[in-house]
Amino acid sequence: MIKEIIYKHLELENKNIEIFPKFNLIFNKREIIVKEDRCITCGKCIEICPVNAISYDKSGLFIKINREKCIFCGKCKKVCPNDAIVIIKLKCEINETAKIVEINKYEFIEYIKERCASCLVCLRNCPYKAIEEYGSKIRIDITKCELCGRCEEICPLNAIILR
Amino acid sequence: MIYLIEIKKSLNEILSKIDGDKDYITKVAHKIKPITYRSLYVNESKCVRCNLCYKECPVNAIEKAKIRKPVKIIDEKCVKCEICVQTCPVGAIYIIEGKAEVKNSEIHYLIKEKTIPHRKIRLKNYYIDKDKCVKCGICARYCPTKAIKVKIRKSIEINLDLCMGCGACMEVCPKKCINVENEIGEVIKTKDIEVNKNLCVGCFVCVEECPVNAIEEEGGKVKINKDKCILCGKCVEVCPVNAIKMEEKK
Repeated sequence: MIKEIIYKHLELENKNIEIFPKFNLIFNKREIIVKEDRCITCGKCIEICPVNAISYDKSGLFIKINREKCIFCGKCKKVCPNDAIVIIKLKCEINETAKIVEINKYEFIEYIKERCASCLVCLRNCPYKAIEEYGSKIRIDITKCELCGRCEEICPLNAIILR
Repeated sequence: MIYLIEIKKSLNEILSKIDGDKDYITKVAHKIKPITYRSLYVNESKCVRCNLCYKECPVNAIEKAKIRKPVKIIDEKCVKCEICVQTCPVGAIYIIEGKAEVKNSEIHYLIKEKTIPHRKIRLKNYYIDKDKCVKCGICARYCPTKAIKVKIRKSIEINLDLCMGCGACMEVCPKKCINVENEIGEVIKTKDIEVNKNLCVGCFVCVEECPVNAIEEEGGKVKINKDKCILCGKCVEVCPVNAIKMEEKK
């Protein structure tokens, strides 16, 4: 698909071009949903939430999650006895064929040193304190990192990418 | 724009359009050195109007951004020193590098995005005059890390933990009630520049052409003041005897 656009754009007759595989991320969204029909209002998720983003709603019958506070750590999902919490991670990346990838759990974290401006926004906001200052840049402690994706979301220069 | 693209074209096809001795032309064609050309682009949707590039540009080649208008690079003035790329806090300025090279019986065109190390930007002090603030919400729209939360006409809340210190809010504020002090690191020198004194003939063309007056006269030859030099490569281009060499640092 991408190749065809390039042929057209550059008006090439022979299709003798090569595109090197390079990651291009254009859309990255995370969503957390509580299935109200499955929720038994046990309150386990409220206890475990590290940022107090979960609370009972006004009626006290359901729980609600504050989207602005939530860091998508997945702890509530782990403790829920009735699988009522769903976390969706959606990514749209363009390789040779454009596709949308749904990711349940990130597998590794990539830090691109050149892009980093060492503004330390990620360090101050990491819920697990896994980022530390290292020389003029930063360093990610992989043993502490829980791959929640918070740093990727806030980095203004896209220097951190999770896959 | 982010892709690396390689296009191959047959050399014979292009050379057949030139009249003359075929063998001689092919010989000359194979001797051509690779040509590279760099271009700077601003991704207008990413620009946060912080005007850091405008302030840092040594040759005033950048048009100041206003709320309705992102920054613009004036191509005639730009010397491609890449300082703005290093400075932009949101990575909105790209360098696209094109390269043409003769390889065996083909010409390879390679278009790629060049990665440049980023210099340090950090928040030092933040001051907001909440009495003067009219809670219009323009600053919140341009904040790259969403550190400002505004309820229009009601309240403004700033999370300093999320602030990176780019100063975009200060620039766009219509009431000028925000003051950001930031710490910007040194320009990272990615290249080495050297004058070969044996080759230099003392014509001083480079002294005239240097956009930042970093080249001085010294005993009939030239000397580059490395603190002033922005490594734009203008002197390398104009030197008639190729006495100045600029190479990427390893």
